[in-house]
Amino acid sequence: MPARIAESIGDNLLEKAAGTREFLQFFGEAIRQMFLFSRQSQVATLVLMRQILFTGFEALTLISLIAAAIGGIIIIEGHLMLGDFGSGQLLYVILVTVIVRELSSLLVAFIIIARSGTAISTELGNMVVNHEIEALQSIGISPISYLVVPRVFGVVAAMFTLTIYFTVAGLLGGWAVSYFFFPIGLEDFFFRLLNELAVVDIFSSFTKSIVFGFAVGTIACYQGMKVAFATTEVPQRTIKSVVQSLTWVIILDILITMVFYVL
Amino acid sequence: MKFKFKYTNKIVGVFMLVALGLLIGSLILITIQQKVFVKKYVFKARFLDAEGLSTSTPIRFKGYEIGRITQFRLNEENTIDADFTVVEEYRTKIVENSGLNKAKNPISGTSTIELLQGPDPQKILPEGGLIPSIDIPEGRRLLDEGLVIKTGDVISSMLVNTDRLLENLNRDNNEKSGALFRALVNLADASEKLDKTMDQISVTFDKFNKDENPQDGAIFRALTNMADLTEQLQTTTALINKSLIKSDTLMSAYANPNGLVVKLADPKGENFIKPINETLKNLNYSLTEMGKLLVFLNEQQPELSGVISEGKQTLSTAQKTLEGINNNPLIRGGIQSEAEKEIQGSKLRPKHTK
Repeated sequence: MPARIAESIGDNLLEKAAGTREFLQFFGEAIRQMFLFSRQSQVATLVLMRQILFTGFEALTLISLIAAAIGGIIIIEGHLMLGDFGSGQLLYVILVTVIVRELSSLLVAFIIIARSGTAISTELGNMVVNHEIEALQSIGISPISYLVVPRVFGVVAAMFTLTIYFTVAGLLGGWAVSYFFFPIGLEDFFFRLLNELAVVDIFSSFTKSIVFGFAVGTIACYQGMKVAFATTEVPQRTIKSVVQSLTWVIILDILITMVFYVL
Repeated sequence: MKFKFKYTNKIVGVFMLVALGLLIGSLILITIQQKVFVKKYVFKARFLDAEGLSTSTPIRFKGYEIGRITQFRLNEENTIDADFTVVEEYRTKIVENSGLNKAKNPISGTSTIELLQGPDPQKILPEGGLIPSIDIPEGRRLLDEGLVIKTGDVISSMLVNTDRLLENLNRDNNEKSGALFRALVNLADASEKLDKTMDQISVTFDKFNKDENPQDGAIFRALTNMADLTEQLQTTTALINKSLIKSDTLMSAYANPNGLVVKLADPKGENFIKPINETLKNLNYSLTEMGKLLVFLNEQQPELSGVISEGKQTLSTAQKTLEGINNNPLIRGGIQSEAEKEIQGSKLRPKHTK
């Protein structure tokens, strides 16, 4: 019995190690192809643009709504807690900390995982099942350079852009709601906000968005390309893609926050 | 969807350019607002502790941010040495004998550092000069000598003042216990005694309420009697009041006799009022004269007494003389008695006969 347990654990570890090695190979190849992207830009630019359109532009409304609502909620809750103590200036600190530093990149990543990560995995999985990948390979086109790299770049660009929109919409939503509690002009609001906003906050937020975009795009593409034969594998790989993306986004968020905290 | 695919590049271009524009605009505004590229002067500060300090804690003067803490470290004297920068625009605000007031907001946990400017704004502190916090001895000296005046946010000031008050209350000649605690002990003793006194008063009142009459206590009976008495007194005073009002009315009527009967019978007062008035005036005058006469008589009383006494002696002598004459046998029965005169008019009215 103990031997079987040990064997099982060993098999799992070997499987994990093989999976990690496989992912690292894929990741290495993707990185390599990214540097070669400019050479194939004529072919891959359309894919990149469509990816940005699908992942970024089409999610703009949803992102803006969520951001404005969260900004408003933060102001309401913050005002209820701090307004009575005469610490209204802290609202700006909370807005900067919550929206700019943390929520913008994290929530955008979650939405992109849900919308685009699943779509990329499903699309690439179906392409594998339909032998479209093999067809590309047969005519000498690298599926990673043609399919993966533009998608990863597209997700990164969309996430970076959406983070900017999320931040702006969140702060505007905060101002709009705060206007009901203590009427303050937009100029004055942003003047006070800019006093609390440091360049490092913006830099932290956009570093996260780029890293998250890269992680989400790579994991979604990897899981999609990992589909072997059957269509039943596609949803399984999609779920794995979502779970792994969420896990890595959280881990990377902690790591980046720690790095910026130390700096 | 076809529209989107047809204009994908343009849509994506606008989508990204607007975002980049917002980003660049924000960075420029932050740079301007926070004076990132403005020349800064470095000064040193010293604090008692690093609680609430961070590398970006702002230094404020009159509530306006003039600089920020850039770094801080624990020194060998177990105080905190810090460096802070001040932008060129406010460099002249840093003068000699200035202090720093580090106030921690108890709600947010963040600290604000307020520059307390020295008394002479002309003596500008050279770059790298030390400004002590008022929580260390050097800073306290500035406060004690009145070189700086402490300000701060309301909550922090309140807490600091309370802390100082408690410190002063606890600092007295009694080393074992502070004034506050002794006051509390005394208060506790006094409250215990008060409690006992209240018990005794309660017992006394119970006794007042218990007497031979099981239905009502003495106090209640006394109160009832008092109530009856006051009621009666009230009735009596009401009657007296009425009588007084009537008397007042009567006196007014007498003083000013303008009654209806008088007005009807003698409207001008020539028939009754004036003659009566004249008579009363005459009577008053006669009484006055009588009074004067009596006073005069009173004054003349000794002389009158003498005259009366002499008269009495004369009469006594005359009586004796007449007695002698009467007893004289020579002239006894010599004088004829006179017949009684009839009173005139006595026959006009007949005498009543029974």
